[in-house]
Amino acid sequence: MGMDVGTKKGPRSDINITPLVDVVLVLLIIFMVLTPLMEKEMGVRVPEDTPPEMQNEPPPPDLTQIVFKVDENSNFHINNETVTDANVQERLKAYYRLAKSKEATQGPPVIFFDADDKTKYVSAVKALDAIRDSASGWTIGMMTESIKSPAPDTTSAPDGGGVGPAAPAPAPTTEPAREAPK
Amino acid sequence: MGMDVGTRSGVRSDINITPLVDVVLVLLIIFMVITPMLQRGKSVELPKAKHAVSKEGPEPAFVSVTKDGLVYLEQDKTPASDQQLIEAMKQAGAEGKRVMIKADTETEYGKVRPVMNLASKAKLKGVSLAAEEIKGK
Repeated sequence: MGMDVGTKKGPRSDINITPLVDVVLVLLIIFMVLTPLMEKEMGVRVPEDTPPEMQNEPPPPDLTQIVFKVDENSNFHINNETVTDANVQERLKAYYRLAKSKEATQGPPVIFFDADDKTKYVSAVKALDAIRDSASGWTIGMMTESIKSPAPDTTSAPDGGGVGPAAPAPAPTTEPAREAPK
Repeated sequence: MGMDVGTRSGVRSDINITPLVDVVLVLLIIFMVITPMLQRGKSVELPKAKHAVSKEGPEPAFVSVTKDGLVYLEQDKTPASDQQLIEAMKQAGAEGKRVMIKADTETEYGKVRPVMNLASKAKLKGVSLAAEEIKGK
């Protein structure tokens, strides 16, 4: 036992760098993991800026516009219908089929999106994600002027054919989207 | 006491980690320097989305909307005016760049919509919303 004491005699002159190495390695790993988490994006369209005198062309009579609205409590509305997290996918798919069936006359399926001023941005992105989730073919048009929140009304549904033109929305354009959905 | 001889003349069993430390430290410093450079625009907490994708093409122009609703161009120190934003977006459009809107998760949507309105005024057809991708599934 005494021998051990003898061999360690005198103060050790080298710094114990093991904790330093530990810390530095962990930092290195953190940075290596964070660096590839680059920003991803979602493409949306904004209405084209047309001179006021050209704005009042009447839309085609059978035009069905689909307006997706998020209210300040983060509830989703499609046209006049209030949807829940549970049925939003199903409803969006139904609207997509409807829009797709009219593609020949009305151009690619367009859904207009708006959220209440007080909605948290994260809810808006969640809604956009849900739209992308339902069908990849949607062209999402952002409405740049706020509309009044539609009164809850569950009568209009795409399968019933009762989707009337809803709130005023910017007219869809038929040009290929520059920010085409993937 | 014969033990003392043994401690000096035997093979050293511990690895010399000094070069390892050197290399790791240099890597660490490189990453620390590069990481802030990779980030464009203001630092905001981005919302998460399943359908966020990376897009090819030239580096987009960044417009950031912070939690308190202030709008910044790229990494400017002061909030940008509407006129500056339109000018910047028009320029980006002319150069064929996208405009990326980076808004904080906590921002009110009413602060983001005017930016899109300006994008429309700048004759852009669309904008990109920055999001973090949800991994898995």
